[in-house]
Amino acid sequence: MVIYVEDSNATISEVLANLQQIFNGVESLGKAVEFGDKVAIPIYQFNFGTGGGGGGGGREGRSSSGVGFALGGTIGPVAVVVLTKDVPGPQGIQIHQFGTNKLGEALAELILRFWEMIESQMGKREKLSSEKKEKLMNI
Amino acid sequence: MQQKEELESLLKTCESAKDSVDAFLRSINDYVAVVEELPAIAKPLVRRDLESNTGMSADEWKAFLERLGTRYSSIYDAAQRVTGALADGGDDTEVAAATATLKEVSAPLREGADVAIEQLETMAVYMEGLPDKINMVPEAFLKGDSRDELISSVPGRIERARALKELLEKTKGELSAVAG
Repeated sequence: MVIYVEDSNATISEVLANLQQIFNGVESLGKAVEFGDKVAIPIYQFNFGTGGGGGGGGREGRSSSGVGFALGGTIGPVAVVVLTKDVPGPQGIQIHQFGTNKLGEALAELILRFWEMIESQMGKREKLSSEKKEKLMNI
Repeated sequence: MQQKEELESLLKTCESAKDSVDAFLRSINDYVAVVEELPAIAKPLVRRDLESNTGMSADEWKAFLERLGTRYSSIYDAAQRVTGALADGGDDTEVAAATATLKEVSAPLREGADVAIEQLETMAVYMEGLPDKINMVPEAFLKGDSRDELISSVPGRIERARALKELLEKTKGELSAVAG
């Protein structure tokens, strides 16, 4: 978003400061994904930055001045809240927070947990013993 | 005479088993290729699912099948030597030496056959349940095309796993008769 103003005055810095304060770090809930007895709700964070500048000049008798400033921002998922429907209270709420540079890992971990839940519903198998595995690998 | 017939039967089983191992190995490679095409987020899931349900990763399945194929080739060669020794007039020493070699090369298969049979059945059962499991994954995590591709490749693998299992059971019986 870019906003141009006709004139520079003291209120611009106040507006900028206020906007930054309003938008920075705002978190928003995303669309809930329901699976089985669980509901996952992604949380997004908005990060805003601002910049601006001004100047003046012109010819004799036709002086001019102006100022401009811009707002830029990013939106990214920061966490997922998983609610277990049948578990009341805080025990039914899990929050999986993503590290900024480990988003993929965190998502994979979340889905792995989800997959494990499916496995438990389908009936998980016993582990293959190391003795049996060795026999297979030496067959 | 009976030994010759048993050897002929073993040789045929080994040939079929080698083809069956190759076919199953190809289907595992196809499976790996399909999994590799999945979205990055679904890939580790599917890999881990195979391992946690069959006890072996795709790489371990490949290693096992490659080894089984090599073992069948060795048994086939050894059985042919016994057949050759019998055809040469049935010199007892030569037949005994060839039979001893057959016994030696087939020992790992006889020792591991029961586990392998069990594992192949485990794989077949896992594959049977896979489509239902895949259909439980929300669309947000696994798109329609990837889902269809994964499901459509399943039936062939069930057949191949069971076919190889039957051949292993047959081989086990035939080896007991021929190599003791």
